[in-house]
Amino acid sequence: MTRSGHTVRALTALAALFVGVTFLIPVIWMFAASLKPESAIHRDVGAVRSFVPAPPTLENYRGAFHRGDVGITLVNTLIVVTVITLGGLLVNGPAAFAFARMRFRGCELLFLLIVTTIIIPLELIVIPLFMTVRTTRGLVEIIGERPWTLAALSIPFMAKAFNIFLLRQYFLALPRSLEEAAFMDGVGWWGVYWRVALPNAKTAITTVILLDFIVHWNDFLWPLVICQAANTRTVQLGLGNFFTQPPISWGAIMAYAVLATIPMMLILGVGQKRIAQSLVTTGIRE
Amino acid sequence: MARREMLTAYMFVAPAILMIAAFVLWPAVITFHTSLHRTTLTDPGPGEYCGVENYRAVMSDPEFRRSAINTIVFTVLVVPAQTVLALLLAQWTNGPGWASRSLRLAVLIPTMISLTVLSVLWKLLYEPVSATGSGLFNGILTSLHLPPQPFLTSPRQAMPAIVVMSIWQGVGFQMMIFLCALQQIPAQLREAALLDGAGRWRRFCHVTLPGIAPTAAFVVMMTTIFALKLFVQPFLMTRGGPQGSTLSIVQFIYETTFFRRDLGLACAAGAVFFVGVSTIAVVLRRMLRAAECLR
Repeated sequence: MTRSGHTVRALTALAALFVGVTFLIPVIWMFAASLKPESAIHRDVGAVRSFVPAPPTLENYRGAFHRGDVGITLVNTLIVVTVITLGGLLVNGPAAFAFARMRFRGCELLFLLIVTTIIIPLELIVIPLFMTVRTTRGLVEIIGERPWTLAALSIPFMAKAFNIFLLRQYFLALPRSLEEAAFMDGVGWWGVYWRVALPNAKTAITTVILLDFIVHWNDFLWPLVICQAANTRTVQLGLGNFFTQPPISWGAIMAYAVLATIPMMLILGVGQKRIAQSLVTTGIRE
Repeated sequence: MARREMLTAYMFVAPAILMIAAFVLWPAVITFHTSLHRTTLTDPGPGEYCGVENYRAVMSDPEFRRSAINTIVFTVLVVPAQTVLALLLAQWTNGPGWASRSLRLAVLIPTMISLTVLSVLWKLLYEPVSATGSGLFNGILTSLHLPPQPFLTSPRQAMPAIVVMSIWQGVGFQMMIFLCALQQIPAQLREAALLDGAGRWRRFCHVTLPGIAPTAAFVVMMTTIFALKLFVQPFLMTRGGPQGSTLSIVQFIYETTFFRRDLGLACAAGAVFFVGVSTIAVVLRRMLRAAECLR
């Protein structure tokens, strides 16, 4: 390579670095502000110091826990997301397998019906869904406010047309020979599903779990509609509420925001590429 | 197929079908049903039948019109800009080397953070100059000796401010999908074009663009639908203000339900919204298909 080629490459790399850092300014500021005393946040604004967490303090995190109850909202969100992903797998998996492998009366029609519901956004049905779910409000007397709300946050979202569609694509691609061998051994459909199909569809299952986790960890609209008591809020709703509640402390708000972000970052750091890939492949094939 | 196996099949699909029917199809039906009745939030069921009265009311409602215009403006500003930016970034960072990799990671980080967190964060960043201090952006403007801006507190700047924040948040996701598509273009095609002496621009137009066209069509569809569902950013950053300049359709539906308590009107708005989104999706799909055939 020539000397000028080297220079061009070095300049491009520098440009990339510059663009990257500029792009991240808001996020860097969020982390820095969460670790600084309130007065320092306002004093440093606009200076390079505003990106340096000095003097560092955990006071804001204490504020997020004590005044903002971030702890209980994190626990709530974790419960809701776990119920949705695991319950969803129990509901969507067998359905996807049946649509991929079994022939039964009405299977095409039913599958078409399910796939059509992919185009129905939550925003369209949020009000009537709220009216439907509200009819079970009487259960609050029996099971209590918090369990009822957590159930209302999770159960309606377990069955999901898109997940059935995605899992079915993977089951269709599995070689039939595997299942035939299992049938020879006298295993029924359940056995084939649990012992052959599921273990071979690990990639698809991970994708579905990741997608569900992201969507429902981030959801704001449904919790906003359904949560009434403070101890039933999800972490996103809790943050949306905390940041308008006086006395307003930017540091504590940013600490809350960081705590709401870290679990997602961990999950997505692992799974982002896989999600994009499966969206590309299923999206084009559709 | 034997009867027993048929029964097993139904057992496999029954839970999913029943739940989708109860939590998706049934509410969708109720939306249309309620939109034809005078109903308030406190009524136990739909009230008296009133034909298309709610539809007439919602179409002539100045707030609904405002929200529809705002939502469309947001979509028209966000989708093309974000798609072009994502494509440029994907093209730039598609390759080995630590610089490309770091930039890729940097652009991806905002997409890993929830819209709620980012809306709250950018609300603070956009904060105007006041006695207690200003937001980061106005701080930077001041230290550069530029005039401070009102951003979210001005009816003219609020929507552009939300647009910028939304592009910043969403561009990484689109870039990731474009990167996957770029990597699936066979290397031989590029090499053949190189051997034929095609320049950078011609290679981009004749090899890269056709190679990613199906993905691009898919991405544009997804982003458009996502943009039309705008809610969290304006709800948290401006509550739809100032002077209704950032009120979105979804927020209109939410407020009509819980503040005006007019379920019939809210459901009519929801139905109009659904038909609108579906129409746009179908038209867009046709257009993108046609564009693909043209090449």
